[in-house]
Amino acid sequence: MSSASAIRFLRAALGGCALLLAKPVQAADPVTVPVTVTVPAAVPAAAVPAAVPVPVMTASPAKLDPVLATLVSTNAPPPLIWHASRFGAADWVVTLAGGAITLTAAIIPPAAHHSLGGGILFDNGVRSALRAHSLANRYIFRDASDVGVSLMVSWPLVADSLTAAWWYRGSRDVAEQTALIDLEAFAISGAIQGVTNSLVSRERPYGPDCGSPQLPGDATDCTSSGHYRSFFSGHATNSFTGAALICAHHFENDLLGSPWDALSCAGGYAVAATTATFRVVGDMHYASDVLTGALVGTLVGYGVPWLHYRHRNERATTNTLQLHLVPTPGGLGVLGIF
Amino acid sequence: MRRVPLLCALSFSLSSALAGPALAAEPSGERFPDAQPPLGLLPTPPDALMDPTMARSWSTLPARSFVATTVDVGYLYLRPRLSLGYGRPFTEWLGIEANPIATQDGLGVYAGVRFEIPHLDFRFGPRYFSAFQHTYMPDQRNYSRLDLEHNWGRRSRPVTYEAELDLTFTLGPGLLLLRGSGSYVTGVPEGYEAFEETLHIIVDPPLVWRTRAAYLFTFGSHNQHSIGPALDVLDVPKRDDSLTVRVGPLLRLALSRRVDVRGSFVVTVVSPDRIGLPGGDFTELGVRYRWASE
Repeated sequence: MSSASAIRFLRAALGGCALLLAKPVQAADPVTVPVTVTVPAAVPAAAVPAAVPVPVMTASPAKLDPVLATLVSTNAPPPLIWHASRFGAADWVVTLAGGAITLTAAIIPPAAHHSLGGGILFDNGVRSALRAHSLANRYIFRDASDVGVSLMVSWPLVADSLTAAWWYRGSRDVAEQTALIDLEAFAISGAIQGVTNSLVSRERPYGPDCGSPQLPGDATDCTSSGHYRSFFSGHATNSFTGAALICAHHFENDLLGSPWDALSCAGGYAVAATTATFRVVGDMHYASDVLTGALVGTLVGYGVPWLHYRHRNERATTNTLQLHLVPTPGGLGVLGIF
Repeated sequence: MRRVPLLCALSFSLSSALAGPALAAEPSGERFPDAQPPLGLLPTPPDALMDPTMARSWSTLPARSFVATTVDVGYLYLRPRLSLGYGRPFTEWLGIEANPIATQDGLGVYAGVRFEIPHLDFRFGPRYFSAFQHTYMPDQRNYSRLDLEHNWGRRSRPVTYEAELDLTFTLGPGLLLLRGSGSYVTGVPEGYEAFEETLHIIVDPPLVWRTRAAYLFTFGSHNQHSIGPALDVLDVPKRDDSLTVRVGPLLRLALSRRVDVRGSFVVTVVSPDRIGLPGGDFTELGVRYRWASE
């Protein structure tokens, strides 16, 4: 199966989304000459590993090597270059410490003293309005929220860093940097949420129902330490951290181009908001739990990337390597200018 | 054409990934293939990861004794696997493998033998799993989610002996994958049933079998990526009307010979039980990293 036919099939299967989303980042005309690839001298060689050994290549236009055709095709958006400050030793320390705290908080049971209990402010009103009526339906919404948070944690790493930055935009370096920033943000938000969650030890909204005919007292919901992990919502925190990371990386790197970066950001927030809402519908959290989680997640999800992106590496844009496709007596050639 | 539903944005990455090969370039490694294989045991040069051409696939190297690892990581699971064998790693080999299993539901370990040649992959071994919360459940005709989440007293810690055979054929524009497995579950008290955490099914011991048929459309310059539907059928002979059917998509994007993006969302459509998401094969949405000595 050729690539083109495979893509046609998959495009149809996705209802045209693939084509529509890709259009803004492709040239209207797949003409291949000339094209210039600008590479900063300050970027490590690994970013464009083998560019230097091929300053001149020749090929007949009729038998254009696929590799060469790929190289010069203006269908390809320009390769990404990482201009922001790089993930350093301090970042590793923060990430590992955050991960360790998150894991520890998940293992250690919540405090015996419950600093917060029952609904506050608008909690009870929202709960009455949104909570699913039957336990079976609440489980369905809890499952849906599990899918949502899984998607929102995976999306920045798997879809944006690996798929969009590395595979689609051809930059392993940008993929690596954005993925590490993602891990750092998730570690920080996880640590904040985990520690707060353990210290506050707020009973879940369903807690008073434990021991009722609908929810037996020996159900794991009632007997496990999760019973007192209501404040604040980890699902909301992680989901909104993911949504903010999607927005930050898309806008800073133009991963897919306008307007698709904005739509990705909006889509991320839509999934995050839905996930958080389902936690209330599933009776796992009060509204104040998910709103706090959304706030913390958004702050960390924007804050951590911002700390990296605000330090632009200005030298990265000074010296360049240019690759030009030029006509030669035998066909076409690639000329590298250093 | 301009009125793209917002939902399209949610699938933007997959869409961009799928659109990539036809509309854009392959990764930089495709443009600048590196003919020199890395040393293997030493740290790999960064550019060696940029190898979507698969030109240096492990399958092209001579047969030898090797050590290999496969690490699957995602939200929330971690499955590192260590393999010791002879042959060509991940392609044509015979050896032993072991892997700890860490998920949000519990911890486990698997060890066994494995034999792999083109089109055929066979493994056999025992797996121990200790659930964090799930307990053995008293015999019932069917189970609800509350039954699964109920604390019945004895935490689930079965040992499962499992044999699995994969057959892969090129068929038309893609690959046909056929999988059959038989599992023998032990350690469950008489009169109780267990939720098998890997097969995601409630088992009246000892036997459970599973078949999977999947058709994966391949794409990419070297057909290294694939996506397609999968159909799972499971049955527990000792349970009446226990037929379970699952369907859903499988995805694999090979970013290099070492790094894959893998996803599966195979949900239950027919089952005697109503246990929700735990009953599906929603086990992968993450990254697979492979390494082998060369």
